[in-house]
Amino acid sequence: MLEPHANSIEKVGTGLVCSVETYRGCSIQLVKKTSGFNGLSTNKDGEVRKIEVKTMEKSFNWIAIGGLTAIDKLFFERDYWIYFVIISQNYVIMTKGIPFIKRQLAFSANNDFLLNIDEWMKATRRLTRKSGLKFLPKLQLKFPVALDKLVEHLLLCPDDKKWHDSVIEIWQNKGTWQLLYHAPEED
Amino acid sequence: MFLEDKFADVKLLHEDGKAFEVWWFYNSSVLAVSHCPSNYPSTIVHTMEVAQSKQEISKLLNEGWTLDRCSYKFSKLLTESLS
Repeated sequence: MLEPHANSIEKVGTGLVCSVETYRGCSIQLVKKTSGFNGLSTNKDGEVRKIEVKTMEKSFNWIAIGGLTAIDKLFFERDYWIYFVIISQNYVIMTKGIPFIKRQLAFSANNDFLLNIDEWMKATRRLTRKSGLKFLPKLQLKFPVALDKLVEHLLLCPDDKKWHDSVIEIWQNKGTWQLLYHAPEED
Repeated sequence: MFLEDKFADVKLLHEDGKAFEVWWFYNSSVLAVSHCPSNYPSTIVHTMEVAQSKQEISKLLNEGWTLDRCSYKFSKLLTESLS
């Protein structure tokens, strides 16, 4: 039997994210592929999330962020969220982009890190413009805690403060949407 | 009662904040209410086949319409409509 194409798996995740976001009372606009994320969600208070959907079917411990625009959004957009979708269980795990990656990779950026990233992106863009060559950078992120294990852990230990600033909500659909985990509000 | 917004499968909002589309799926048909104040008549009720609705949703999303409601049932169809 033919395996479903990765592209169609991505779309299943996007469909589920649209459904859960509107269930939460938000409206969502799907944006062009060149935007560096998949959808722009706005809640009733006008708060915006730029959502990148990462759909997982078999492997739950790595993602790739492809393209300069997407990498730029990840590091420099304050409202950039990554929604992980585990399609076998209909889970949607809502995470804040950089805090989640920092937590997973125990990544502590030095003072120059953002400046260096910015310079690298500008240099790549300049090189692209001047040479006519197209560079397609890809950031591969391998997580020590796989997303399926993280869900198990947070459902068992929702008070684990370690994840409170990065994993914000976990939803599941078993016929209707249910909020399984919600990180406490920050003081 | 079933035609209330909260039972709709899809609600789409136009960027002008005034026009909207509300759809209900029933078997292989879709009942759609399209409201656009700048048109006459401003409200049209019509039906579509599911296949046609997939094309329509794809077109509307590409035009920048916003999803305000997307039922779980519809999320499956949406998957097939995304380009």
